[in-house]
Amino acid sequence: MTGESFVLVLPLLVLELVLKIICFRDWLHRRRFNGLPKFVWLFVFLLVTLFGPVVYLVYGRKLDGND
Amino acid sequence: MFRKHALIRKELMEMVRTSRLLIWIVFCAFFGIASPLTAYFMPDILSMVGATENIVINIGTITYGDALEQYTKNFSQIGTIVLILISMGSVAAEKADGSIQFLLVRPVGHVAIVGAKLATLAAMLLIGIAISAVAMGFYTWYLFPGFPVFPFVVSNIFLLLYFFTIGSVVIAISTMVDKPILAGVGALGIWLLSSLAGMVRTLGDFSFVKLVDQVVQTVEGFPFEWEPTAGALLLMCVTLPLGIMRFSRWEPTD
Repeated sequence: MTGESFVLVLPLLVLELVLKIICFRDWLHRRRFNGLPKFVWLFVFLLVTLFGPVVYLVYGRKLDGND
Repeated sequence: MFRKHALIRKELMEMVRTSRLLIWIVFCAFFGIASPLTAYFMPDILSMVGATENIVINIGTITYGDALEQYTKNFSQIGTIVLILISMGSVAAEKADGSIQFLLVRPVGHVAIVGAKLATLAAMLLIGIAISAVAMGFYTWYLFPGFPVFPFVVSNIFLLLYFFTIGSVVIAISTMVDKPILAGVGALGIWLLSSLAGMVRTLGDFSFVKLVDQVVQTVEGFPFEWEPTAGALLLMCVTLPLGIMRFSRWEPTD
């Protein structure tokens, strides 16, 4: 990949990284999860590109009044 | 007026708390950037695939039209599923967890509640589509010379109306049911039916999914067709009053 191509693709990588960091911070402080055990959700949002973090944020977290 | 502001503020906070706004913005930015890049790198991707399979794949010159097609097709299909996923609980989830009862004991009408949800949906969609339009416009202008940026930015109004129609249908169904998944399945069903109806001659012209084609047509300089816009407005005019009517008769189970 040339330098120009890398610069063009870089915003996509940054977006993905930001999503994963947000999910990881939420995952660290959360005790209750929907559907899957806590550690499985970690793999879901870390390994699955884009859709992993989205599925975690939409479905994985068990939201309560304190969120 | 104060109640309306309070309701909209509550919905905005809810949108941030549940990460709906974040997810939508990231998705829009992703498709705005990825669509022109995919089109631009398509010859390289195909030659790599061809090299591993020992075949030669010849494709014509890639133009901004290919980037535009990637943008409208991918964004409208995957974006629809994402929008349904993040909006299906807008009323149904609040019914299920009982939080909407705290609103209904106050002097707040059902129309105001649904109205606040629609207003924040419109704001969320507007922010996301503006971001995707800017990203797509910039990347396509940079990668493909001669891209008409201004008509493209204007054409995103059709994409906004398309997503607002889907979001309104999700909210309308969400007011009718008690489980978010039912709202999601119902909205997905209406979207699939509308896509199928779009293939039928004459009637299909009124399918709101054709708003996506209007994006390409506007950029290419074709005249405006009113039928998909009328179909979208008609669908909202039918589903939203039905939803509000059903919602106003809703009684908490416990």
